Amino acid sequence: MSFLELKNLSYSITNNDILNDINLNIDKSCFFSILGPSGAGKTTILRIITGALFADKGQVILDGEVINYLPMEKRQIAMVHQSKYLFPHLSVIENIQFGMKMKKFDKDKIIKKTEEIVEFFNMKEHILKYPYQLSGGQQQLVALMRALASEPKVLLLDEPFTGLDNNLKIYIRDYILKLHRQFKITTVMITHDKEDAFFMSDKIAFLFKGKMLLCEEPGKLINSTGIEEVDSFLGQITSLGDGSIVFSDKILKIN
Amino acid sequence: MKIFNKIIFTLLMIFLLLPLLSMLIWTFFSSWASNDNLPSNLTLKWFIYFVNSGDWLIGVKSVLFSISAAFFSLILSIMLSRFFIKSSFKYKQLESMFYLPMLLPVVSVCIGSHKMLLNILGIKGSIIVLILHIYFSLPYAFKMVYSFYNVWGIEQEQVARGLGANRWKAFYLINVPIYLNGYISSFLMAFIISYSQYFVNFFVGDYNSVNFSMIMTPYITGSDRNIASVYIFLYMLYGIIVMLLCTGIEKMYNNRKRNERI
Repeated sequence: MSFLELKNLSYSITNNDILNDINLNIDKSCFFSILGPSGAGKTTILRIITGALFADKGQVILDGEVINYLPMEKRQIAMVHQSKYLFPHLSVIENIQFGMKMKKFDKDKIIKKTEEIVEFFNMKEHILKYPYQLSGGQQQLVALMRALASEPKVLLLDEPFTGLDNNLKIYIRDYILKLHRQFKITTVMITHDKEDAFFMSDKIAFLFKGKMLLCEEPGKLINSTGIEEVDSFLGQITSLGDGSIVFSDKILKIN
Repeated sequence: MKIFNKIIFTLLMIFLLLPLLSMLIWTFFSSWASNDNLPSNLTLKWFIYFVNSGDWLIGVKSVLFSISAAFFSLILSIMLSRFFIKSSFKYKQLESMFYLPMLLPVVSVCIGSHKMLLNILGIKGSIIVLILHIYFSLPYAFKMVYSFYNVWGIEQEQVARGLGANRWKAFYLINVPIYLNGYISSFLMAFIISYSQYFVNFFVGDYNSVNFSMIMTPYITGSDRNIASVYIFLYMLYGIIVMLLCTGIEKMYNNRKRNERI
């Protein structure tokens, strides 16, 4: 049985279909990516999963429970936005501990967990700083730390590398993969970047104009999918056979 | 460029303070003969009159009344802004409706609401006055709060809720600190609009609705410059005290937060 399931999800604004009959099954501890061009409805899916939006039709099922009308705070789903949305009036450590305090973790656990996460992300020297004193990459890390600290059942990543330069992107991407391996949190990432999706995901779903066109393991997307929109978005992909694939002129080592 | 800025600043200060200068002189001096260099006869007798006549109490009531009108306007503005920020495009088009009271003549609104609220619904005069004060101050308060919401959005609150904070905690712990400046400015704007209302109280209110503007006006139109100046001075003073209190509360809140962190 899937850990997170979207069943016949539809959402529209003033008669414009933003999402049309979306079905997705995401396994526990899986790193799942929703790939698609801008305006495909990717963020809307995440907003419905978090409870910031209500679907017109369909169900969101988490761990066997329908959570459509469950308040956001009871869903145990944390989201990291592309704009970070750190709390500007709180220091880094206060940002990290916010979720734990809201969930009423005991004091010792809060301290232990904070130390563990700060060490994991190597951010000890920044914990007393405020968000405006951090670089874009550091802010993204703090947003990740904050989400992770609240021990969510599902971690949602909304275009987490937007606005970061390539080196920083690789740095944060590695951290995300490392934390996924260590904490085994079911993670759903939305992105328009096919390289990120291929590099990080156990499974990729392709969303186009509010419709889910396919959901496959990255390895199975290397050859033509037979779906015009997907093939034209992914372009030419060649496997080199050693775990590396070539996107146009860029080689990506998947393993 | 620096000198140019300084000149502009000085000119603006003069422009701002010059009209107050003659008022201040006539507040404290009862005569200034044409052949004298300086005003003479320092007196506080109109201040004493203000206290003894009980008008100070009307001033206090007036301030408290405007504080409550501003408070309600602020609450409604927050609710409205949150509605508009979350709602779809078709509702957003209705935003301008809420600025209508800025344009409508006070007299037409007063006549209409007087007829409807007092005669038909039987609501008490002082309640109608409060409703109308909120009606006229709401657009200003809303405009200010909504512009803050347009800049900051409510995503931070949603993130907080995703992290486990309930609606109230997300509002109190995240929204209020971020928006505090906007809320205080909006409150002050609504306060000033309500505090300076004359016609609404005069036209709709009963004897309980006499406010500072009403008691001040006869003195100003009565051409006794000393007493008029004293009343204007005290009218300003009451308003300034409220502004200073609000700024003080804001500073206290921020200091408390800072100390909590330290």
